[in-house]
Amino acid sequence: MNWKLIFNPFEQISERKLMQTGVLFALLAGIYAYYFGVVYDGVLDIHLFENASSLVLLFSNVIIVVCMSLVLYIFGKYINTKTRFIDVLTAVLWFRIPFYVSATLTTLPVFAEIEHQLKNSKNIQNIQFDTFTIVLLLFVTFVFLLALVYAFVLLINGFKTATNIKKAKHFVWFTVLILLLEILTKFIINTMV
Amino acid sequence: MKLPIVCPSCENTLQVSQMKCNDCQTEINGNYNLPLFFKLNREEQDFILDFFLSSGSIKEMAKQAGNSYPTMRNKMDDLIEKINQLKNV
Repeated sequence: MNWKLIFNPFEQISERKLMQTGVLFALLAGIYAYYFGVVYDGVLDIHLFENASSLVLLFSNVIIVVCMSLVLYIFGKYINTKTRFIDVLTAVLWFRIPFYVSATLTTLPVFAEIEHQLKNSKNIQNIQFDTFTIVLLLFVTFVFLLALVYAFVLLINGFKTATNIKKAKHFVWFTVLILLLEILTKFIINTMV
Repeated sequence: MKLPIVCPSCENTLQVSQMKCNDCQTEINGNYNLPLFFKLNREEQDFILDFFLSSGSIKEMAKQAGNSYPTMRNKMDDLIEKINQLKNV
């Protein structure tokens, strides 16, 4: 198995193919979000909203992609003047793909059932789940964590390829920017919901 | 045969001390610095040669090597930085 291709597709695959795949996944994710009520309310967040507007359902992911691409492009340009917008955009588009997998899992009926139990229970200690639900919950949590780690591996490798960053201080600033982007996108999308 | 450019004992850059004409067997002894190009390793020399042969197109080189454009450009930038350092030594 070509691990390099899985963890750093940006090294070998052309930006055009990366872009096409990233856009295709984003479109599918937008359609899925619209029909299942998924809102990407932050760089690292996925939530189900019952009364979200169609605009938010369709475009929450687009807002995140645009904000991240612009902020990271400006940062990339500051580090390396040869940074191209398309390379940062593809890194962001691919960073989002594992979140679409997590979003699909979020809409599993078992979560609606758990939420229903939590809402209707007066004492949280009295709630009991069967073995299947617990195993499923553990499995889904594990997949969520894997998806999050994989998303960051893709983003860091993509941004490294786009900007050729090597210095530790740049990675620190990169982390700070991701946290600021989480706050910014969360604020924008929550005001729209 | 691969031209050694670094001393296997102390890892300093080697210098040319002898040259020989294969035709008349004349030998020249001296102490000559290696040209900058030969101070680069084989892979870096090949990279520069490939760049020249692809008419200076990083895009074309990337296509031939099966790499993406930014990967090739990063290699080029790293090599430029190394050459600038070698020039200043």
